[in-house]
Amino acid sequence: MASCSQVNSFLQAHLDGELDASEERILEAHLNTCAACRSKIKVLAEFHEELIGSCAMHRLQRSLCSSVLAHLPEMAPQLNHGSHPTDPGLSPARKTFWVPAALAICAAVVLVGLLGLALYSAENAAPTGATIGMVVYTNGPGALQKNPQSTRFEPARLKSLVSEGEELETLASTQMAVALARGSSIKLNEDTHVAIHDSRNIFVYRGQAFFDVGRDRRHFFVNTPAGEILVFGTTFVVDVENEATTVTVFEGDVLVSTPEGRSALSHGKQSILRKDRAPSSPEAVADGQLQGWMASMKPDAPSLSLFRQTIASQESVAVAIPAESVYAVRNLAGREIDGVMLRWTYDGNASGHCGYFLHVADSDDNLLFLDSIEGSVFDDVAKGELWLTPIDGPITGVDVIHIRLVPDFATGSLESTLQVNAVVR
Amino acid sequence: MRQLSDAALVLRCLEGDKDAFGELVRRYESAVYATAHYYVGRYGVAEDVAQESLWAAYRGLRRLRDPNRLGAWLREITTRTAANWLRKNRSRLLHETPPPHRRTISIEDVRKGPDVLLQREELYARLSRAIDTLPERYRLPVMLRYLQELSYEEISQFTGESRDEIRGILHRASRQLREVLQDDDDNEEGHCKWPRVHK
Repeated sequence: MASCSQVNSFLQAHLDGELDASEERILEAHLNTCAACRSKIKVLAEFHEELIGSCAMHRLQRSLCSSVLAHLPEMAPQLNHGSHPTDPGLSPARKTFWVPAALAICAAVVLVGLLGLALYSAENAAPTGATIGMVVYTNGPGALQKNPQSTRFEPARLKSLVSEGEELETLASTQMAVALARGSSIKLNEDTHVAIHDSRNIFVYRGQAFFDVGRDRRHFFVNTPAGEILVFGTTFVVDVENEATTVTVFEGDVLVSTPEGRSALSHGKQSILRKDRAPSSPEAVADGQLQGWMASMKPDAPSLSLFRQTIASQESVAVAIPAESVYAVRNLAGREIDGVMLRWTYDGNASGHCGYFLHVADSDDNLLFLDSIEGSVFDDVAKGELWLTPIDGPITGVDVIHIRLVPDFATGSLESTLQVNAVVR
Repeated sequence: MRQLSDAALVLRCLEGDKDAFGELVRRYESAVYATAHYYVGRYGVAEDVAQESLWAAYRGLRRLRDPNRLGAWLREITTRTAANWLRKNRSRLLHETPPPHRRTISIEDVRKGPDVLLQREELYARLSRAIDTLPERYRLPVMLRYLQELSYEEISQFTGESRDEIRGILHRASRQLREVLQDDDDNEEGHCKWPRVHK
């Protein structure tokens, strides 16, 4: 039986008609036995009705649709740039600029139209997520894709669109490459199976996948049955074989974690993840090993150019994460830096605050260390600071360090009343 | 048209299909209006600003980066349009008394008589003041919920927060609103009262 405080969080959603069936049953069972909550909800319902009632006179009383549409023709439609070249107000110099611009825009319109058609036909077949990628390389009939609504895999051909939630599979002796929105790409070796949750979140079920992740303010996740890989713009290979996942980093930095622990990997390092233990400590890989199966996979040029003109052109390159904090700290005395201290003021209203990823780099954005903290530390009334230190010991010889605190929305939300600050020690 | 996703409708608009834009207006007019009302409602121009925002969205549709986040983009445009209106009319607003609200009276209210009407208007004025005491992040979801009675899902599409976050926000916001409005009752005797909950 649920307690009063448990059902308390259901009351507002109940009045708003937003409880799901099971919660509604829990609430009903509780109300049947608890007179106090029954009378409370009665008063809350009255209050709710008063609120809604007092707003009634200010509500939108008619649809704006007809009046908005009536004046649309006067609102220079965004694609009708053809009128600009003949605009008498433009100087000759501007005119020469407009002709190629208009041509480029026409070309873009045709391409957007084509993409639109492709999306419509896909949509009529089955509703799918946003289109976020395109197949740019295959070398055989064994390349397959399956959208989330479908139960079977279809052949993936060059220029096939890839949507959120789709799964990709390569059979024996077939490889495939997919260009993804936000500047990333994946190459799949033979006998590999992955799911593309979205353009920054991929699951590798089995096989070998090479990732080239574009630098973007949103972090990129790769999950495998053994653990999680958090990426900050880099190239690396994930090799999933039964229970173990081997991660090899070619460039840049990644943070690998399992339920048991985590480890930061940089250029030329390799670590093995298993579900029931911490990642193996990073080991250097011989240079020769960094030239692998993926080198021979050259993307098909027409597919890549269609991808760039359609999917890649629809998005901005850098997207700021809300409430990401960036600190640049000048190390004037050139002294050793032991680590970073996070400070906040305990706030009882901020329960459910998310955790953070901490990314510390030098002025050229070379990684110095990575770490993450859990949202639960903010619930501890006795805590107001947390001390994070690099595994390899103090940082030396840096003039400026850049600290990025990236909220981890998977673990909670940002409560505006709680501010976390970083201090260098 | 009704089953199409926002993204598909946006693509149709870009191809010049005005009916597709009409469908988007139907989907988002309530949210756009409530946002406009939050900023400029007291000057009686919420409807005009909402309309202006929808036109601005149509003109700028090409610049929409992620058609799946149309709601959040419309919210930004509406906020900007309202801010521009306030800036443009700043000097006038400083020196003039605001015009009365453009309001519609329902048959039900006419039957109940002028007392109820006055009472409701007073409650609304107090509610508006109470909303201003909420944390900034709570205010728009509250307006969308109470003014236009949007569902959590619709609110979440417009503010960009998840449905669960919206649920949490409205839970906390309604508790705070109750506290503020009931404290109000305690301080001003003889006013119409809000129903009281004993904790």
